[in-house]
Amino acid sequence: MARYIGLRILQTIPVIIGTTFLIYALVFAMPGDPVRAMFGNHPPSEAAMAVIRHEFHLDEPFIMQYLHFLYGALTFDFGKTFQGRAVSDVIATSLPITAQLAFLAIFFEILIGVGLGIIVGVKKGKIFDNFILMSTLVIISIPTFVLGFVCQFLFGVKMRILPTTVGNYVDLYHMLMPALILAGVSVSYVIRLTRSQVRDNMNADYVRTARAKGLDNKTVILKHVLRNSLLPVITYIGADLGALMGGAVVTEAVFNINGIGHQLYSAIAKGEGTLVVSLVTVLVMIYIIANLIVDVLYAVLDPRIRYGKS
Amino acid sequence: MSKIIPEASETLLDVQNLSIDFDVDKRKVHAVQGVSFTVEAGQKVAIVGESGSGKSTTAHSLINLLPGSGHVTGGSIKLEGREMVGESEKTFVQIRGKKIGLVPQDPMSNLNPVYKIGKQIGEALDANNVDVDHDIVQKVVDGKLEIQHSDDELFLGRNARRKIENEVLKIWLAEAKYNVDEIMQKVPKESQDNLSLRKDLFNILVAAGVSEENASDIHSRIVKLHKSMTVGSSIRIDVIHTLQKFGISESKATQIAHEHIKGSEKVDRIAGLLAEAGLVHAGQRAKQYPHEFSGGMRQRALIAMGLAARPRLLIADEPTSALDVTVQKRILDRINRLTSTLGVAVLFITHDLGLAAEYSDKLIVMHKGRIVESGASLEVLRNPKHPYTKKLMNAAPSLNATRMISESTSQIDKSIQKSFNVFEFENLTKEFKLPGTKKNFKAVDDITFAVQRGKTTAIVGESGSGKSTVANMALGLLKPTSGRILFESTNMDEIMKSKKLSKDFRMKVQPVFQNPYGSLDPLYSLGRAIAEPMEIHGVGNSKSRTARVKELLELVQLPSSIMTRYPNELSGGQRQRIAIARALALNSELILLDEAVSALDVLVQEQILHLLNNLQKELGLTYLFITHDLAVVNIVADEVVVMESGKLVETGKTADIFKNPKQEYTKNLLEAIPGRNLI
Amino acid sequence: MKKLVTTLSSVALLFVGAITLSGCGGSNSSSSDSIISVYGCEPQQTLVPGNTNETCGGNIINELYDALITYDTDGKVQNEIAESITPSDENKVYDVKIKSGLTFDNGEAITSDSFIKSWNYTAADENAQSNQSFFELIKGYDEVSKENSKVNELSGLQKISDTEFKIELTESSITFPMRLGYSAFYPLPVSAFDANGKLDPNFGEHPIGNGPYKFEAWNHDQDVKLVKSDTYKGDRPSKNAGLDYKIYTGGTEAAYADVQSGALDVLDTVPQTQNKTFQNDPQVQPVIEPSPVYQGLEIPDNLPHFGYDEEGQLRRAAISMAIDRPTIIANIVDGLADVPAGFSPNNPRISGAKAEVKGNDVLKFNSNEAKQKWEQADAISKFDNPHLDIYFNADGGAKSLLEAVANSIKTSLGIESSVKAIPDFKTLLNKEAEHQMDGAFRMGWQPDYPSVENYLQPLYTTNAAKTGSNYSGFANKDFDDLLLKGAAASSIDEANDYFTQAQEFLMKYLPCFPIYDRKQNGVSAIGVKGLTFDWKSMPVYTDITKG
Repeated sequence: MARYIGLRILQTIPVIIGTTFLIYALVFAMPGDPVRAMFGNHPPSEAAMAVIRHEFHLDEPFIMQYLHFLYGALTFDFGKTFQGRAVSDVIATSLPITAQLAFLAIFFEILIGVGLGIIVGVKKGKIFDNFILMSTLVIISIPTFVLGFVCQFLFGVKMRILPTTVGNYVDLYHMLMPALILAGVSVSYVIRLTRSQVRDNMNADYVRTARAKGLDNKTVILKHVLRNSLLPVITYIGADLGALMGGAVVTEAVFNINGIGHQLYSAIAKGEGTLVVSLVTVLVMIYIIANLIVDVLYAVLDPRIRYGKS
Repeated sequence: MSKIIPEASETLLDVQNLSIDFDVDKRKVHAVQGVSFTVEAGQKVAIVGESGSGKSTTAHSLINLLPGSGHVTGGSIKLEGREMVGESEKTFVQIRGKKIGLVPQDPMSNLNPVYKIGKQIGEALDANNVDVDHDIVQKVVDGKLEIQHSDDELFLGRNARRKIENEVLKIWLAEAKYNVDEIMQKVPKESQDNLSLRKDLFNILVAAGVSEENASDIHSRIVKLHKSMTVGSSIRIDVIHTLQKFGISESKATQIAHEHIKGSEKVDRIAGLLAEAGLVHAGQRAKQYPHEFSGGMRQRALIAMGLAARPRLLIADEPTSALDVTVQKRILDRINRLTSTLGVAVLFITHDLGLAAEYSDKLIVMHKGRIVESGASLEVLRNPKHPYTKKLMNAAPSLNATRMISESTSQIDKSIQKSFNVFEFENLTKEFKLPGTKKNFKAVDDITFAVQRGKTTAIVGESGSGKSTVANMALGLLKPTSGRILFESTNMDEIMKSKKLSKDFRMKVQPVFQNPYGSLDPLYSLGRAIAEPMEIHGVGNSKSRTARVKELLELVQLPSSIMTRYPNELSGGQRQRIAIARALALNSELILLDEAVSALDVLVQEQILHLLNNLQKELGLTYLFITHDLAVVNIVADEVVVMESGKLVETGKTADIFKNPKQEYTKNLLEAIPGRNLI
Repeated sequence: MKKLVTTLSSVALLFVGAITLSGCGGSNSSSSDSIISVYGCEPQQTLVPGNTNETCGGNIINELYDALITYDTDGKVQNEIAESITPSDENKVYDVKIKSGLTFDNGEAITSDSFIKSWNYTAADENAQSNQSFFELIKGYDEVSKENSKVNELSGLQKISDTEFKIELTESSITFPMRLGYSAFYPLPVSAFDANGKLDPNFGEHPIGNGPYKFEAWNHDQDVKLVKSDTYKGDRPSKNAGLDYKIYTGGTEAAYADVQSGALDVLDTVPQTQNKTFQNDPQVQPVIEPSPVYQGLEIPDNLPHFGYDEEGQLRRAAISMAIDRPTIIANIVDGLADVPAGFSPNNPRISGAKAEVKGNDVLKFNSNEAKQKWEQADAISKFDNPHLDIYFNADGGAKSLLEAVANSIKTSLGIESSVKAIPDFKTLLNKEAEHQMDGAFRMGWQPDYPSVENYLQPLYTTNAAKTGSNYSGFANKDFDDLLLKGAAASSIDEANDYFTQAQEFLMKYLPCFPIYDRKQNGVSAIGVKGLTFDWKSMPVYTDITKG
């Protein structure tokens, strides 16, 4: 197992190099001169703009720019943004915020998603089941920003029970609503996934055998059904972490959260190659680590899966 | 001290007029109608029927574990005199495991893959609050049930066994006139406590001053003693008897037993239960997961689970249908012995009449939800009264001793000269490289035999025998590692290399596989499925092909209107007919039937075998019949090839093999055919 | 079950840990009532006045600094730091005397060097400052702005004493003093420069100014905090204790919701989605005032049939008159704009702004006349496949406006007109600057100083094609001359006359035609008093109070 993990970690290196190269190439291929755009309708002289271009290596060929970046990355110097701020500083302030948002969302995914999923999976009552199915379908169909705005208005402005934005106040009270919104789609999916898994497993042969042994319903569900049902759910949640971190852009915009999503968006719009690639690298690493953890977790939970020598 | 349980004199299980319905797509299906039967304490009852007869449903209703929408609509189930129909789930939870145990059908899907075997058995103990110190021995004496419960039923624990063996060792040393203390001083300290378990006991004793002769004698006796006592299973009284058998005086044996045997821990008891079910190295096995067990081992684990709480009735639901025939025999024997010893009644569910007859006292035949006949097993077997029972009897391969005879007329053109042997296999070997090991795995090892034209040659073997690999090589799907295959005197190598020759080959040799549900493309209409081989080989045009399809359907006795239908509308037997029709589309000469009837009910199986037989006579077909079921071989094959672990064990004419098997393995296989000895 | 509980607990612990580790961001106890929370956005550059040319940074810098002059409500120049600014040599040389006793926040005195050093730094090429071009009128600019130039001091700046210095221009300009209010001309403490005249690179993170507020803290992407300066002696002392610019990364929508819930005091731009409702929204206090900003459509001359010859003039007039401005104002901006009067908004705070400029009927909607003119143009040279594409940047909000314009053109003239998207602002800007546009595009303008001159010179002069924002290809000597005459005039009124003539001149050519003059709109939370806007549509932060 240790060897397996080691190999997986080694594999991340070519993945990162490949991804950063690809992203850098894409940013480079974007039309438009980011330097001119910095000045809008009041451009300085060509010479002044040339100085800036030179400072950011924008006057060099693509491959040189990429190598500059790579070299810097190895020494953990990711360069500066156009504003003059160190990229690592940008990452250091925005990453933890998005991470907190994502973790909080995952927490709700587990609590509400798995919890409700189990309840619906076990109970056969039609009414509650249909209600859950309908509402999850509705939530999945509504775009996140619509959901966000509606909830923001309803709970923040009208009813005043939750704060409308997060801004500086990165704490549980302020992040509650955005996390729930962000988790919305995932929660709906987890409920459905858990429900179908539980339903399937409730009818599984080994569950019947467990009952035949004389186990009561509660034990059967908690010990047998749950353990087997949660395996694919855990995989999904683990993979979701990466997706949540990268995809929180909309939620961050609606609730004014200074996270990676927004940084990435504005960096792309401004054509800040170094910043884009650095942020993407961070996200790629998170994704890879999350997936690795999930795979390892799977092996831990399912004895049929063992990596390395059989 | 034994107690006589008063209610034990009543019938253990009394089912009267039981009816069970299922709700399927808003219709009601009457799965069981008006079923009545009884099971006495300690009695073995078998319910026989085909799929859909309601036998499993009846059994599961006894513990209220009907699947899906099933529910009891009428009748009564009395367990030990108590009415169970309408009782709450809570009540059923109490009786499950404790009063009625279940050994389910499919060993893989019935074990939770994520928990260790030992843990799952432990669950059965915990759920029923089983006392892991004492055994419960139920004996039926004069029709009354006696439950014994005394300290003589204390289980042997690991530590206890170790200590007892050590004491016995010392006794034997003393008997051999050695000074025990002196010897023990010369034994290295770390070995002193577990001498009896050590493989190098001989060396240690010799080093301590014991003569080689004595040391070897003591060592071998200790090993025998060790094997005779099972942790978690042997009870004190057993141990006393065992010690006596090994030459210890009764008083000494009693003293030793009383001193050391104080009962076992749960983990010991689990190992003991597994050992009772026939699992070797039970203690280690308990720490493994289901996917690390073989099919037979899993079934044993399920047996251990079913009997863990010492129920009064054990429901065995087709416990061996997924197992090889020799393993099957062992398992059923084990269940039989165990339940007899423990005084447990058995309700045995099966589709195999022979099996039912061999392992039960009373036989109940069910058909379409009703009981058509019941009575003492041998009686029913020898004098079946109901026509359905008679049909089953005639169709059961294990109860029929002779080759099927076809009454069709032959349509072969005898003027065409063809080779005597269709296939000749010479020193055929196939090796596979396995990942992680250095040695190659020999799936087929030096097989030599021939397939005569116009006859049925059967390759019979259990799983892992290599018969399927031989089949694949015969079809040209695998290349032999060494040896050669001659098809109509031409080397298969050459055939496969040449495009034309291989195409011809494919026209002449066609397979029919086991799974009727998997071998037909669900998106093809049946007519298209049958015509496909013709299309591929460019035979005829669309019109002639349709005509041929109609011909073939007639041959396999299916209406031609079925051409436009789809596989999902047919039953298993009908699908196999379609597969056979497809195999005949190109006027093939040899049909390779790979377990082609193993998945079919016994009556359907009989029809298909008859059909194949007739076709063989009419069209001069040669069959290469791969199967694990020796009983089927008896009624369809002319020549038999017996394989085991890749090697050829024995070959010859069916009648010869069955009357005078020469090899040990063949004898075992024949022994395992259930019901053979009853007729 | 145990696994489920363990998993749940570990997740919960993780989360709680993360939250507490973050130090709760800025949940410091709510600031004293007198600190006003205002909408902010992350400045594009660090807070260096010479390098800031966008509103995010500008809004902050404006409160940290006072300039030599300020503007009164009519757009007339008033002295602020300057004691006097005396022109001579036909408005080619200006003598600046600074009031004594004025200091920066750090106690440093404001001297001539405070200006000279700062201006030299901004003007020199090697410092790559955004506002470099504002010094082009000053003698010596050519040298310092030449490529690879080693000269980094403007020869036109002469220090006379600590409180007096001379500015020499390359040509007469009566309006030059008006420019001195722009942030490019702010003073900086001398201590911020090293011996070589280079600005301390960290200055922008902790600027030291001389304005009504003092810089306190800047948490990137989160907020900028300013406190009332107690050393300030100028004309606009703050009525509140300080400003908290809350930075909204996702735009004004979230900010509006915060104003409604009382979490934000002032928002100076109402998001488009709220345009219809904010005036009647009981949870906010709306403010609407005229602004100096207009939106227009610019057609570059490289489009066939749209040159500046007779045919082109007719076509341009036709297009302009085809645009149904009143309807667009009503529908697109919900009435929050005026029909244009000329090439600058009719805003009394802008010096020289006129209510009606002669010839401005081409800026009025008249579909009949539009059709006539188009046909006349066709008579000169037939336009086969008549069409006009309008480009916009997808990451901005102008799509609906331009779609309405395109529809108007289609309906009135019966020619093809559709909008085309360009992915982002910088790409669009690039194409405009390189004259590579093959369609019309939106042109808006926000002035740097309140004079009509600033609406004409950087946009339509021949020079502006090289160094300004003239993307239309319009280069007309007569027009240039009018502006020069205006700059060389001996009085502001005289200058304004010339500028009016220049506007009338432009009516013929229409390199760009204004569509509407925007109104500035903002909201403040209930309980907040005093929100108004200045000539530049910046909130007068110093007048805002609460509680």
